Amino acid sequence: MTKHVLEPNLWIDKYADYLFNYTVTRVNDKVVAQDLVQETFFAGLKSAANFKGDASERTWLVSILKRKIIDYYRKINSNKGKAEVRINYTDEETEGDWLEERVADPFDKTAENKIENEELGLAIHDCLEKLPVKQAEIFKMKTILNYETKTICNEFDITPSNLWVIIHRARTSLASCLENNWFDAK
Amino acid sequence: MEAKNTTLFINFKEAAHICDKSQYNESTWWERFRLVLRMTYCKITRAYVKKNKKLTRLVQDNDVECMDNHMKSDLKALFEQELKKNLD
Repeated sequence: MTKHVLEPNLWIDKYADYLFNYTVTRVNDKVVAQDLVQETFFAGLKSAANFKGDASERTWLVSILKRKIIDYYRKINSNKGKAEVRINYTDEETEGDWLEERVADPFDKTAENKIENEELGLAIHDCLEKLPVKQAEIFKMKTILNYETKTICNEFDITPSNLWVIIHRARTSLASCLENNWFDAK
Repeated sequence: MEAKNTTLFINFKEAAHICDKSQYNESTWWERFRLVLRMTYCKITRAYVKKNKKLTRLVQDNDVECMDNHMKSDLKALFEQELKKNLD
């Protein structure tokens, strides 16, 4: 079995987005997610000596992150009472609507859908990791972060035509990767 | 050899380019018209458009998240400091 080695200097570029996506789907808060990812990297660095090399770097970081997420929920749950749900009705008109509010919304995403969406989100990140770094970065900025073409061109010092060629290559590779790893697996 | 583009008819490369831009709402009405026209007679273009739209839907519907570039560079700077400390 191949032994994996740690390369902390590449962690942010390689795993920050994957871990961030993983965390956001679990804590529903981008600021908290960023803090948890940061703590994970720092904790990983501290306990690098304990890394045996059996699992991949990413799997090992995810296991640290999982513990951080559990700790986060423990912490907020220990502040019981603060998370009390209140329904305040300010006028007579809205009073009595509460029964409707409490009925489950049939159009709401089911748990199964949610899990599948999370898995798909991670599969997209898996496929993005396989692209050349610049291609992946430009695709993420354009498609996920919705940056303007001009901003990306300035940041990478490329022309709009170059950008569209890169986007085209990224989209084609990503579509085939998802086809092979996600749709075929389903 | 790649077919040439005319005022009305476009080759596949141009069709793919317009389709990519359309995913970000950056194509013009005229470009879209020429793309649709090509789709009426080109199976490969139709398949490409279908696949491309599917990818856009997947990314949008699944709320794929990425760390903002500023967030990432802040994190990088902090982490590099920590990394230096560990090496010292």
